[in-house]
This record gives sequence, C-alpha cells and structure tokens, in this order.
Amino acid sequence: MIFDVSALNLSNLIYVLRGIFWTLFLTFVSIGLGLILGSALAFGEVYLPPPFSYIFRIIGEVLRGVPLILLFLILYFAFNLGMTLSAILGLGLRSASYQGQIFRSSLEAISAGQLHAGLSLGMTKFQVFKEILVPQALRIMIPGWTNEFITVLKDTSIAFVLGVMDIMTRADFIARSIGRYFEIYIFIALVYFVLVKTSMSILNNLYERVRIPGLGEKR
Amino acid sequence: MKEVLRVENLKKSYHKNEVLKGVSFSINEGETKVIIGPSGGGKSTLLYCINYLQKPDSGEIYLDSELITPKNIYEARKKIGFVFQYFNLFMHLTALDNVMIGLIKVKKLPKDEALKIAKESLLLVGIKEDLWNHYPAQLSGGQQQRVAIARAIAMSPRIILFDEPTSALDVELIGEVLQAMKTLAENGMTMLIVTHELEFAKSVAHEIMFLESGVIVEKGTPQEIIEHPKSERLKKFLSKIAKGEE
Ligand SMILES: Nc1ncnc2c1ncn2[C@@H]1O[C@H](COP(=O)(O)OP(=O)(O)OP(=O)(O)O)[C@@H](O)[C@H]1O
Ligand SMILES: [Mg+2]
Repeated sequence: MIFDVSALNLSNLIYVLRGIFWTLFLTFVSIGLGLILGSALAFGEVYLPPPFSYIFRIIGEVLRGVPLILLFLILYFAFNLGMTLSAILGLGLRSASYQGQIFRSSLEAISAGQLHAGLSLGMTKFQVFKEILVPQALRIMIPGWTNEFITVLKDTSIAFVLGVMDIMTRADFIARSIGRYFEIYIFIALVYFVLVKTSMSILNNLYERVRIPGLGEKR
Repeated sequence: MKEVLRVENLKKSYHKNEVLKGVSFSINEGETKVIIGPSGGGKSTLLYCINYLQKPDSGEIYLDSELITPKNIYEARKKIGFVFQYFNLFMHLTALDNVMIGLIKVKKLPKDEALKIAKESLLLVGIKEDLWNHYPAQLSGGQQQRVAIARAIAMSPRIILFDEPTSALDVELIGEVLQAMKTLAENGMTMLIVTHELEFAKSVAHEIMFLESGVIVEKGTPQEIIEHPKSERLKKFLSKIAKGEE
C-alpha cells in the first residue's frame, strides 16, 4: 500500500477538520445530558424505595444493553427525531446509563456513618447531601467519568450513520470523492488520538488538583 | 442537680425483633453514665434512638425537660454530641474543617470564631497544630477518634453520647482516647458512654447500667456493678469480659 501524501492537501484537511465542531458539540451536549439524566438514574436507584428503584435500574440496564448504532436508528426512524436530535439523545441516553453507574458507585462508596455524623451535628438532610455527599461523590467519580468522556468522544463517530457532519462523516466523504481511504482514515485516527489525549490530560489534571488523600479508596 | 436527659419507657423493634423493651433512666448535669452489655443487647440502638438517628417506636426522651419530637429534632441534635464506634469523620475535610463544619453550617458562626473554637477543641483532646491540616486518612485511628470527639465538643452540646469509642482501635491507641474522655469528664461534661473498658468506667462513671436483651437488668455505682454484681446474667457477662470474650 502506498501512502499518497498529496491526498492530505490543505483543502482536504480543512474540509475534514471543520467537522471538529460537530464532534465536540455532540460530545459536550451528550455528556452534559448524560450527567443530568445519569445522576437522576443514580439517585432513583440508590434512594427510592424498592418498586421505584427497580424501574430506574431496568431503564439503565436496557440502555446499556442496546448497541449504540441501533439506538440511533430507533430514534431516527421509529421516533422521527431528526439527525441532530437522534445523535444527541442516542449518545446522551447511553451515556446517562453509564454515568449513572459511575455516580451510583461513588455514592455507595461514602459510608452511611458519615451521613449519620452530619445529622448528629444538627445538619438538615439537604445540608448533608450538599456538604458531605456531593463533594465526595464528585471527586470519587472523576476517574471513571474520564473514561466515559473519552468513550463518548470516540463514539460520536458512530453518528456517521445519521449523516451528522462530524470529522468521521466528512472524512468518509472526502475519501470517497478522491478515492484515497487509507491516508484520510489515518489522518482522522490521528485527530481522534489528539482529542482523546488532550481531554485525558485536562481531566487527569483536574483530578490531581481536587484529589483528597484516601478519599474513595477502600480501607 | 439539674437533669439534662431523661429517657422514659423507650421501645424499638426492627420488624418482629424487639430490641428495646422499655428502657428508662436519666442523667444529671456533669454526670457520666456508662452502659455495658452483651453484643446485640441494644446499646447502639438506644443511643441512636436518643437523637432520632433511629426513630423510637414509643416512649419519651426529654432534653433539659423538653420532649424531643420529630419537629424539634434538628434543634435537639445541636445539643446532643455523638461519637461513633468507627469515628465517621468527613473524609473530604481536614481535621480542622471536620471540627469547623458544624460551627459554620449549623451554628452559623463567623469563620474566625469557628476557627478559634475548633482549635481549642482539638487542643483539649491533644490534637496539636501539626495534625490540623491532615485528612482523616492521614491520621491514626486514635487521632481520628479524638478529632471526632473535638467535633462533638466544639458544638458545646449539653450531653455527648459515645458508642463504643475505643472498640475499633488497636490496644495501644485506646489509652489516648480514654484520656481525652477523662479530660471531658473532669471539665464537667455530661456523658453517656457505651464501653467495655471497665477500669475506665470505674474511674469516671457515676453509674453503670447493664443492658441486656433490651432491658436494663441492673444498675448501680461502679463498685456495686463490677465488684458486687447481683444478677446471674451480669456475673456471667463480667466473667466473659474478664476472659476477653466480649
Ligand atoms: N438497622 C437495623 N435493622 C435491623 N436490625 C437491627 C438494626 N440495627 C440493629 N439491629 C438488631 O438489633 C439488635 C440490637 O443491635 P445493637 O446494635 O443495638 O446492639 P449492641 O448492643 O450495640 O451490640 P454491639 O455490642 O454488637 O454493638 C441486634 O439483634 C441487631 O441485629
Ligand atoms: Mg453497638
């Protein structure tokens, strides 16, 4: 196989790179949506009484059990949601199910004893939640959440089936039109790699800055 | 003498398991009372019911002659300190912040005032300045428990409840925690302590209560309870403790 550098001329590269907007847009919006819905799932599962907590758990399990591409197609064809909305909801819902798990296990890592201690000082339940649970859970979840962020970032490429003009779709478009696949695919693989590495180092940095010795580590 | 806490005919069941079968006693200002009794006898449940961490099924609890109800429980808890078996320090806060958080968030004190009280409380239990910025995971069990005691006394409670404060500690760390508690007793703090440290109980307790199967089987001065137990059950329990089985 010959690597034809001329396939990577400036206008082709710019055409592909303009898709970064959609790649990042989909990533951030879906992660955000997943964070909100995921925390709702986690609280439902941990704090609601049995019949209701099961419902939340089943929702999570179903979302984790369906291939992402199928979720996209169902939203697009069965619910007629349109390209962008199907992409956001598909990524967001699936991410909610994983972020929910991450958040739930973070909440469960905080001992009931600390909640008792907060109450015994005279704190209200809301104060215990705000001053004790949340600051700990958020810190504990960062490493798992970093992985989830990267998964979503890479899986935005699957929205390609919907025709969202992200770097994957654009790359495919160019590759097809000039008949050079290898060069273009290697190029976007590199772009994904740079995006992943950058997000990882930002998030790891954040974690190091807010990390508290011993927090979230099993005794 | 002024009565601080009175418990009347307190009952509590978990499902069909009746854990407290009508417990009554009272504590006056400055008194230290010790509860002993076999595992599963309801000691922790009794303490947890007093500040409604567990809701009692029936009976009354009076703090400074005022009946505690679900309505005034948040006010009451400010005046009832609690020291737990497993310390339960807030893992995301330093020793100093663990002591300050109640003063700031619950008592709404200004920060400088809270800081001053927190420092005094920590010094009282022998936690020196070099440990103030340590997180719980960076402290030994004995240090953690003393910070937990400081957290309780900083709120200037009317009474402090201790649930086996030394039973999770290595033997060599027990002494420092008991010493801190002795200091509190000497300063006139009112305390209700579940412990099996009988030597300690002898030196600080005004009264010892023997709680078994949800009832106070026997109570009296440390002399009476430890040296001259009357009931067979207490005798048996004491000999078990002597053999290190409880
Ligand atoms: N949350 C709970 N739900 C159901 N049963 C409980 C609960 N807490 C305690 N129990 C039961 O109540 C009984 C008394 O428990 P409790 O913890 O009060 O005893 P204890 O005297 O403190 O024992 P130990 O010396 O082991 O701490 C036990 O049989 C225990 O299994
Ligand atoms: Mg107990």
